[in-house]
Amino acid sequence: MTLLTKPDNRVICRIQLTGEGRWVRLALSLGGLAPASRFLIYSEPLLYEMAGVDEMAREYGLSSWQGGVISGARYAFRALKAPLQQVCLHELRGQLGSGDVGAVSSAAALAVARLLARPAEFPLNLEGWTSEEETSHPQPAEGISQSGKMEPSPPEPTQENVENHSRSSGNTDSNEATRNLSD
Amino acid sequence: MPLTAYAPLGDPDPNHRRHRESRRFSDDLPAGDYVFVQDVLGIVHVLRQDQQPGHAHHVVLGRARPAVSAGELILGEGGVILEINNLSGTFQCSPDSLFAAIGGLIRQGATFNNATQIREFPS
Repeated sequence: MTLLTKPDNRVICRIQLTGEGRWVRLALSLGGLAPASRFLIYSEPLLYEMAGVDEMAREYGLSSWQGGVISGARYAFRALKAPLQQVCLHELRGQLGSGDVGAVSSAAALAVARLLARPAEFPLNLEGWTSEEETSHPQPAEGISQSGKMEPSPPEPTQENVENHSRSSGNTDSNEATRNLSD
Repeated sequence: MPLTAYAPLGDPDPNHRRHRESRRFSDDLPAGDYVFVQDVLGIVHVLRQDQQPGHAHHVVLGRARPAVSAGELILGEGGVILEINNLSGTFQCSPDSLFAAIGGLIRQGATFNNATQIREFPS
């Protein structure tokens, strides 16, 4: 798998949880947390592509799913007794049900633990989920990293249930968003 | 009571039950890490973080009930608040909601002192 990213000096951790008919993949990095700044920010661009597997989940937007990211990331800092840092969300994709915000939270907690280079020695409910992870380190040129840990790619969300999101340019074509993560 | 009522953004399923260990804040609670949610009547409810690891705010009140404030607090002995903030993925309340939370906590027996850390995060 070839991962294309903008030139960046941040370490990015990508976690994927896969369950029965459901999956989520998120990528986070950490940065300094200035006073009165947001705990969770978005990268430019943000890869956001979530599909709901039930009616309620199809109504969820980024603000609903990001609640899980905030909960899980904050939980990891607390559980590991690590100083709080700002969390940057680079990618949030998947196909989940309305009761699966906890899976997003667990993925975020795992990602923060990895980014802190700490084992995830705290209780997490991962029953029914298998996890895969990948960490991409800064690249000196062109920002191209290689990793094969997360193959094969999960099934793509069905088009009618997909909400695409880009913080920099409004809605994007889903193929464009997906292409950035594919060979 | 205030001000702004926040509907749950994360996990807004009305079928979520209130956690059995969720309780009203009182000064005889054991020291530790808690999440808190203040209901629209101004009552502050808390849940120990270790009772519901990770994603927790949605089950403090349950049933997708709205909140006027939500966040985390670290409780010392005798109801002393060591730290409080407005971090909640479920409710994502604005920083000024902490005024309501602090008022409610004091009414329910909490003590804030000069060492209490109050951390505000823009929503």
